[in-house]
Amino acid sequence: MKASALTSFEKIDDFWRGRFEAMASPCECLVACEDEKLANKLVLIAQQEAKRIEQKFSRYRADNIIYKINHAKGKVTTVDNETADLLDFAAQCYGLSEHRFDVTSGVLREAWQFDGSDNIPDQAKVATVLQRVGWPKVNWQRPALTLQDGMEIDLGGIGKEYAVDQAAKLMKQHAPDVNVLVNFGGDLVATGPRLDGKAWTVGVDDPSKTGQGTVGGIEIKKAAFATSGDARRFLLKDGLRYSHILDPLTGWPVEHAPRSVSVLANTCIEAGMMATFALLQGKNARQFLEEQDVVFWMVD
Amino acid sequence: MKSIQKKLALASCTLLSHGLPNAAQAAEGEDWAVDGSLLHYAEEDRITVNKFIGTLVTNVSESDKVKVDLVYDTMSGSTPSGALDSAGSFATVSTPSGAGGFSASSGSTSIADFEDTRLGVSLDWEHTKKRVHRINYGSSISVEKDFTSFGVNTNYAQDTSSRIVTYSAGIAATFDSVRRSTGGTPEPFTEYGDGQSLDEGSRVTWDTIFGVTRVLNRRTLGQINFSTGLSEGYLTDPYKLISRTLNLSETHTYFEDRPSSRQRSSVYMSMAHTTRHDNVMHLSYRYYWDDWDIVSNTIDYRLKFRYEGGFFIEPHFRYYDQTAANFYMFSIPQETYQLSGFPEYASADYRLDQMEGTTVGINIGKTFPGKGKLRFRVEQIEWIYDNSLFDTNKALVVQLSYKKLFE
Repeated sequence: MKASALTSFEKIDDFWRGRFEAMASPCECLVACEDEKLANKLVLIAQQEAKRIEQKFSRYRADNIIYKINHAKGKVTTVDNETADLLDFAAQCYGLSEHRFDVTSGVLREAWQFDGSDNIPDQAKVATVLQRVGWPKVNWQRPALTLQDGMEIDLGGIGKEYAVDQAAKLMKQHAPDVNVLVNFGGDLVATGPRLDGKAWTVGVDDPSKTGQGTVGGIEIKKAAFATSGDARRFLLKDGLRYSHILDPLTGWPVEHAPRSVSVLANTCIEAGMMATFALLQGKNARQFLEEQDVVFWMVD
Repeated sequence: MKSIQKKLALASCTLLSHGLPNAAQAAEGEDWAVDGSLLHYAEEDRITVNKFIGTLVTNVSESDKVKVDLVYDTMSGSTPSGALDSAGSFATVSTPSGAGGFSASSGSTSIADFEDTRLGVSLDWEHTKKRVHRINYGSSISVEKDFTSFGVNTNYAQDTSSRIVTYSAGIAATFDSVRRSTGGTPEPFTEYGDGQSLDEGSRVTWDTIFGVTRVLNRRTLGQINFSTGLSEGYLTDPYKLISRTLNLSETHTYFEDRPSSRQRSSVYMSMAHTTRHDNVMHLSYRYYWDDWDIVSNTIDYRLKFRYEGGFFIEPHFRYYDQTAANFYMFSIPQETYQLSGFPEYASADYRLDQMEGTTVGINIGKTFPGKGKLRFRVEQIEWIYDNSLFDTNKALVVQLSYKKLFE
């Protein structure tokens, strides 16, 4: 697939920064090297990988494996290895989150439109849709997947973080000595320090004025950092803020979910999942995070 | 809810480690790799081997990989034959530092000169099915003046759905034919120099291997293999001799004789661990036993330090010991001979003696991004034999390799 042009590519301090749009998010790669041509090539590799993953796993396309699975009308779909790996991972996450992280919960958006409005659905509507939610209803026997008609798989909760790790790995493989920081829509990983040996500084978004301010910053050399929250998507009714984080067990938004959770880990996917699991815990989010062996930031 | 961090980390690591190869190929289009190396092996005053090794790996499709190996060796030097020199052998043995000794002078039977070349070619085809099943078919052929070998093998590996465990099983068959460079094989226990010769010897070897590899945590991989094999046919070495000493000045020397079957088994355990600073440690242990009563232990340890600039240094240490074969003897004891003639089997081959070997070496290399990888290896191996005429041996191994990837 042909990579389209970068939004920008420029030298900042001692590293190169390339920006592009992918997965409906602003993406940027920071490359710690002098060689402009190599830096450019590395950013293009990351862009290509982001586009590839988006194309393959987006539920908004009619030409990919997700579409095929979701439109099989109760028939079996045989999936490729990468999709199978992600489904295996999703199944593990379902267990680890005590059934709160569920890749079949996407159909709940038929009942919920998180547009900042006050459109709260009635319970009957939610209950009807909820019948088509639940990982245990899926018949997954690698590589064969069978969905009941009307159910859907959405790997959107995994895809972006997965793309970050994959892109970083491909860049590392192409130039083992060059450290990079890959940031896709706020989920990021750094493969090593900057040229001068110093850490990368990363700002943590302030969910009350998202994109405009930060609540703090961290320094990372070789680590991943991911943030989950509802800064951009929520409903407001009667002064109550309904988070876009839906509990697949009830079909309703998770109550008292923190506004945002950021987690530091070795891989972006691990950081992202941990942050998501925490949000799904609602008011127990902080307690959950404290029980884990992780460094985290939480905004209530 | 208790901590799930370790499980999540492991699941993430598993997903990412397996997610790479195909995606990488798709993005990089890395189609083939060529690896060439020159190896020089020199034993002190003994065998010298110069080896060229070439490997070509190519992905013929997304799920099929073909590998061709080519080895060309030139071997020369001399090696202990197992015989004792006729005149005053024992006197010299007891005073190894004395003048004379067992130098490779002409006329000595305790040292056999040789010179040979070997050409070996092997072809492997690996097919990956649904990325969790891998099947490998291989064949090899090797030709020397006095030795021809042909082998076929197949291996099957399967990952569990979680990708944490890999099971593998393999089977191999090897067909060898052995002769002296002058043709034929000597009749066992005939006196050296009598020139009685039989047809060339042939043998078949069957090997099976079963293995389990497991991701222990995100930095550690463990492996355990069990293998067992059976060789049947001509297992004697047509060059090796064994002496019978009647008294200090009279020695008879005969061609050796070994059993016509050998059953071997081994258990191999290894662990690879990546440290927090990205250095990689390999530790392995192998326990081997066979029905010739040889039992051996091998411990191997490597620690790769990685530095900026794709540079690495890897010290290597190996220790090996083995017990002697039950028919190994320094010479045929005169008392036994007088009582009951030749033993059923007898060999004075130093390689069947009780021994210890240690290897100390270093491997250094540098990766050139997008170009290739240069490696240099130096090792020194020392053996100490318990009961052989030449009780020590020392070898130096030097190897230079370059691997190039093509897009």
